Amino acid sequence: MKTTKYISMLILTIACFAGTGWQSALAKTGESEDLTVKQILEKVDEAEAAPSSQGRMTQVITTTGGQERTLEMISYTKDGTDKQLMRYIGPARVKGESILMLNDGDDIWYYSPRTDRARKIASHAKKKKVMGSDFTYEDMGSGNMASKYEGNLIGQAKIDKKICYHLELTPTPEGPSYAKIQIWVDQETFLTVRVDYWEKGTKPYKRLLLSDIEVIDGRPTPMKYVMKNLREHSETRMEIKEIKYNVDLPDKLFTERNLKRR
Amino acid sequence: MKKMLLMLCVILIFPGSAQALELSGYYEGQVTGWKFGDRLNWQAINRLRLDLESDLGSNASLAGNLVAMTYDGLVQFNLLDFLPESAVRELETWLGPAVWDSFNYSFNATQITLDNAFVSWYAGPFSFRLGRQQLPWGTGYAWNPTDVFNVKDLLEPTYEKPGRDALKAEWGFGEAGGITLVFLPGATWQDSTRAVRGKMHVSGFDLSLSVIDEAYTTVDIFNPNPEQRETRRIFGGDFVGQVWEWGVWAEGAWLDGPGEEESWQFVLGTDNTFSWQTSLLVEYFHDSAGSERASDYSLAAWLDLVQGVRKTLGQDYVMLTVSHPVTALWTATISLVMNMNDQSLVAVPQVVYNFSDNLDITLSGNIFTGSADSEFGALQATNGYLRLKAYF
Repeated sequence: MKTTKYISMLILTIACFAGTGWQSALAKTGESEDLTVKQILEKVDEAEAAPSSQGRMTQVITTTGGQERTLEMISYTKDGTDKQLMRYIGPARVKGESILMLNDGDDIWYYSPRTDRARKIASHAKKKKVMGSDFTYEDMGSGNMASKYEGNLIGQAKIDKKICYHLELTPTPEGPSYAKIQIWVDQETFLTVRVDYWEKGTKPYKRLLLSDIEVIDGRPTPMKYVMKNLREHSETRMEIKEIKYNVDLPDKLFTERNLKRR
Repeated sequence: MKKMLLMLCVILIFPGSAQALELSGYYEGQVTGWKFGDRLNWQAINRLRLDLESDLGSNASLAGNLVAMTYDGLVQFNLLDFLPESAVRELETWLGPAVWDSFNYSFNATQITLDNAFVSWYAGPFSFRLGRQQLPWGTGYAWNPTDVFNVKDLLEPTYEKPGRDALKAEWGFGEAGGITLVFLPGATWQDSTRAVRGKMHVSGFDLSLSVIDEAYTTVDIFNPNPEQRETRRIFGGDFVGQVWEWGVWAEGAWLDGPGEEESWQFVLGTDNTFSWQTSLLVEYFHDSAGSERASDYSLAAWLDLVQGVRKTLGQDYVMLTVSHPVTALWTATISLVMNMNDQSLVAVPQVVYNFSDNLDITLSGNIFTGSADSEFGALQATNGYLRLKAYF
């Protein structure tokens, strides 16, 4: 009952601001606190970007034809999303290949163990699918939301019994290559639960769903990420198998020369 | 070699001694059809690569790989088949018809090689590697003017290369900066190759400068001692970064050595990936020592080219590569390499299918076009191949 009242109030509030250009500015939280879109995104960054983490995950790619490919990797992050390192540990075809992303995903190096070559790749490569999956490099290293996106609050919606902010965002000049995205943010945890991606046109072409929240080291963590390509009807399911937060990771781990270390 | 295989067997039989040893590798099978004029010849290649890796404590490691290869079908070539008629006639004038016997080349039916074997150790920002190892150098894709350690296959530039026997020391600083020293021992200090490279990461660009004293072999078949060791100094530099969203890179070298004129080479490249996932790569290569016209290609240059001593004949080249992932499992690529001076061209169409997690199937070929005296036109060795690569 309280929830219904709250939704009605929120819709009323948004309706009042609609057409004035103010609809992007304010939102209501469970704590009756007015939040701007920027503040919501800052809280998303705070909730999703741990000071440091170390994890092992799998990616199962289901192609349009229904065939499956499985990738396994270990990942390290530090300073939120500022420093990220991914090493593939399986299958044998890609074992040892590594991706280093620094400066919030602005600088990317790719390492191939058979040639022992670490090469800096340009930002256009962020649009490339990683190892044939439905995730691109920029999806993997999405970076700081508050600085990479700006936009409007569309309203709120219920996803998996969670009341969510529904935001429409466009990338800032430092942001990714998508024309726009819509995200749904859990009002309680400030975790993203769904993202729709647009290139152009009226329909989204990709959808990311985050679920199976577990509390790890005190942080609510989505353990399952499903990226659906709505145009090609393929899907990539990423599952976190193990994750630790606040681990002591030296800065030297996130250097180009460390990619070559074995 | 037998001892090495025996050691491997012991390690595999007694798993207790192999706790820290990781084994991996791949099998590659390839069937190639070659078209020489009206003839169609076949060649089969089997390649097995076995990689070994082991930690030697927390700050050291051992790694290496053996490659076993077998060849069947067409295993004998005469290198003169890849020269224009005018060059062959000139050779026959000098050396008589018996010259053909000097240019027979055959693949050994079975080869086992140690491609890489090295120990690495680390001490703070310093690292050292001793043994046969990969020495990637430079930012160019198809051509690397500063790379004296590897011979790239222009038709497949990213294919792995055999390691070089070297001592490499590195001091790393910052995110991607460092100084690298490489020593490839020869019979004497003068006969050894030494290189130093300094690298920095500035404003999103990786920049480097290098100085290399290269000891190399020249082949002059008109000389009673055809193989001569020479040395030269190379000053080089390169960068890789981006302008707007286009990847850009450049690599240049100034070569100075006794007995030859100073020359310089450079590469300029750019690439992009479009929103529909198609990738485009364009690279331009200039070699001031190359010739501007096909009629200027000397016999010595042709001989160096077919023997792998030099990489190109002309002055100006351009490579264009377009690649598109048709589905998550199929990737189609076409590469064109053009000698802009003699207008000859080689096209490399390729389709790769990822059959399963660890099996790739490649269908590819090399189509040479151009006049009979041009670089790619003379190499009338158009071929197509089917390759399977199974990783373990």
